Amino acid sequence: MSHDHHEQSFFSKYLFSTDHKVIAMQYLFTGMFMALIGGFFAYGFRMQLAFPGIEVPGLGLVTPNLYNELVTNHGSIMIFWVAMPVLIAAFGNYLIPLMIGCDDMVFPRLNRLSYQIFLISAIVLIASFFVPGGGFSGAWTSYPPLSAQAKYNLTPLGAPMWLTAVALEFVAFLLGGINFITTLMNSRAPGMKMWDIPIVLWMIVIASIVFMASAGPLIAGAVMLLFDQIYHIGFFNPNKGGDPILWQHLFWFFGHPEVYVVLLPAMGIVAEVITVFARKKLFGYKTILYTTIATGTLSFFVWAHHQFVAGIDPRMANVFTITTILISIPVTEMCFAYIATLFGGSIELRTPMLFALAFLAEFLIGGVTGIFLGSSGSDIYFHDTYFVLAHFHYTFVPIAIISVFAGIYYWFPKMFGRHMNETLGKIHFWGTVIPFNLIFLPLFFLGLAGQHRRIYSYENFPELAKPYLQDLRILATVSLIVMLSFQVVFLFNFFYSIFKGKKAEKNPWRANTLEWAAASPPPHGNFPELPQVYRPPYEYSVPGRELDYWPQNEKA
Amino acid sequence: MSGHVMASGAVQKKKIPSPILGMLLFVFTEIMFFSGLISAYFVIRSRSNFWVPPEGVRLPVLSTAFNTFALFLSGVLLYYAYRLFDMKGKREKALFYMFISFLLGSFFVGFQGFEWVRLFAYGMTLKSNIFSSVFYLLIGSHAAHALSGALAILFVWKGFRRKYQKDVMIALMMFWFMVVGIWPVLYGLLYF
Repeated sequence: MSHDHHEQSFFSKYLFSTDHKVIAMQYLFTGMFMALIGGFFAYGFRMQLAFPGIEVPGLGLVTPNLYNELVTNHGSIMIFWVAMPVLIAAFGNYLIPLMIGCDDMVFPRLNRLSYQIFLISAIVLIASFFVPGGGFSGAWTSYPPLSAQAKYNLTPLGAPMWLTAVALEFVAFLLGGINFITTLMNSRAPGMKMWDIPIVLWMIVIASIVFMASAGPLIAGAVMLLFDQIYHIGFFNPNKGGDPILWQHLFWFFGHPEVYVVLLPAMGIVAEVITVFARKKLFGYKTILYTTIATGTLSFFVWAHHQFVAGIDPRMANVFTITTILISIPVTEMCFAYIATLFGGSIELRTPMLFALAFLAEFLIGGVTGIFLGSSGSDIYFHDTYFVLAHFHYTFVPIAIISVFAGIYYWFPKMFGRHMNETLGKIHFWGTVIPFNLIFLPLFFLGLAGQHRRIYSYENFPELAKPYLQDLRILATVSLIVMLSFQVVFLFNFFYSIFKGKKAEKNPWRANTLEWAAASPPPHGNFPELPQVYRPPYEYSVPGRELDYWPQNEKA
Repeated sequence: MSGHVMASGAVQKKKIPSPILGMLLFVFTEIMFFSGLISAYFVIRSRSNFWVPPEGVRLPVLSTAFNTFALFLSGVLLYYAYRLFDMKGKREKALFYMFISFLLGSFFVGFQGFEWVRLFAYGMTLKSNIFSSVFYLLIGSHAAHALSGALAILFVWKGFRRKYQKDVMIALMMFWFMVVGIWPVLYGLLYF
């Protein structure tokens, strides 16, 4: 890596940069753009569910095919093109070199290649909405035979394009993951020992390891499914000697660890935010690290709880029930450690802190409702209802939306050298969290009432078309629209603050970690001279010290 | 590999050099990929009643055994070249054996391609039955890796003619040994 700081053209600076910060921003902005598409799709199908058969403003009539396309791609986009790029790639790329005090990733060109492949995957996905037959309509889990045969999913081109996009996206994150792990291991500032690494980096890196271990089988499955779709081979077709359940194993062997792949970075962001705004040392650093490792390991042994109804030996169902319930222990322990960090702290309710606290509260609901689904007995009743849907939105929305907002509000001064507006931030916070609960609490009740997922209109189901159930659907849809419209406040605040926000100093939050030792925004190369680390990252309010924080790079 | 992937910002004393650690992680994901394929093999085979090649086709077990030997020899020679690079004055010899390793690796891929052409001629295609589908999927995935591995040896060999880099050699060996090591498993599962 050469360190000549010559003037770069706009083209080479923003499109073909190998600088980790630029790549992080590329991931962040691509992720935000995809989030807008995913949110718009949710608006489309929620309108159809609340007001069946109306012309949806801005979208038109939602036909059954369009409904399936919207649902499928909403899920795929939000997980693969929003949660993954923003939580892992954007925050990982931005934070890892800055927080360990080095100038860039170990493999900068590999990093650039990773974003380029990711961008291609996003373009392939978006292009699939415009081919004849429309985008893929076989649900984001892509179960065969629905996904394998065009005569069932009615999207002969959309299906292989979707699968190609997902596979490309995986390649991008595999390259990114190699980079993250190698950089964390090999490029730490002198003096930064294992226990001095900020917890968010541990979590991003452990999440990357989990991702890399789980992605292989799904890529194998994707190759097989692609053969089934294009050449009609029949790996998943029982008439030809294949096995449809095999796909579910390969998919969920990836799919369930994936939940923890996105959960861990979110947990990490929250850990950074609550220590700074509680002015207190993180409670049980090592406990949190060990529970992270335990969560990552256990996440490989829970996948078949998605198949309790699809067909699984009851003895195996017992095993997977136990592992599934077990995994709630390390995650709960993490939450307790965070609450213990808050206990007795001098809490400042700034916008990032509000989002971090909301994460803990909302994720708790998601976690507790998961216990009913992890137990095979109750899952047989709840399976494929809106209870499942509400449960995983209570996990994924805190992860991919609420914690991301906490992270953006927290690191914004570092990223752009300016502050976001605090009042607008608080308006945005309440405008996001309250409607979020009003969307998904009704869906729990609808699920308990037996409302099945993936049904385009409930008018043909007399039991489910009752007015009091329809009222709940309307409440959820209206809340969604309210929540989406409050994001305008965020977008305005975000872009206005980039150019016109209050100038931020080097360390506006009085935080300890190394990224705050760099200028805001950090220049190419990050630090004027690479920092030395003298202490762990969470030394807040140390007795006998005048300042209530103690940066990692400060000698005494 | 070679000059394209360079480490930056080296300030910490490294336990494992970056190219090796990076390759270790990559090989790990590849092993998971093949584990996925192999478990798919077991699942499909366990529920299949006719687990045989299409009628009238016999798999070339013996000539493939010979081919297996060629691949093994390629792996051994690459390791031999690695040892030679460390000795004084053996550079030319090391480069020679490394090139032979590449030739044997390409021979493996080429010979397998030739066998596939004959199998096609006998009427065993991707769609003949579930056995042949699984056969081509697993062997084909391996062949793709063997091909890229052989090309990687050639590419790195070209770089080494200018300058030898031990870390790159170790990373290359890790990938190639994965290709060599997985082959007997697939050979045993599918040819017998």
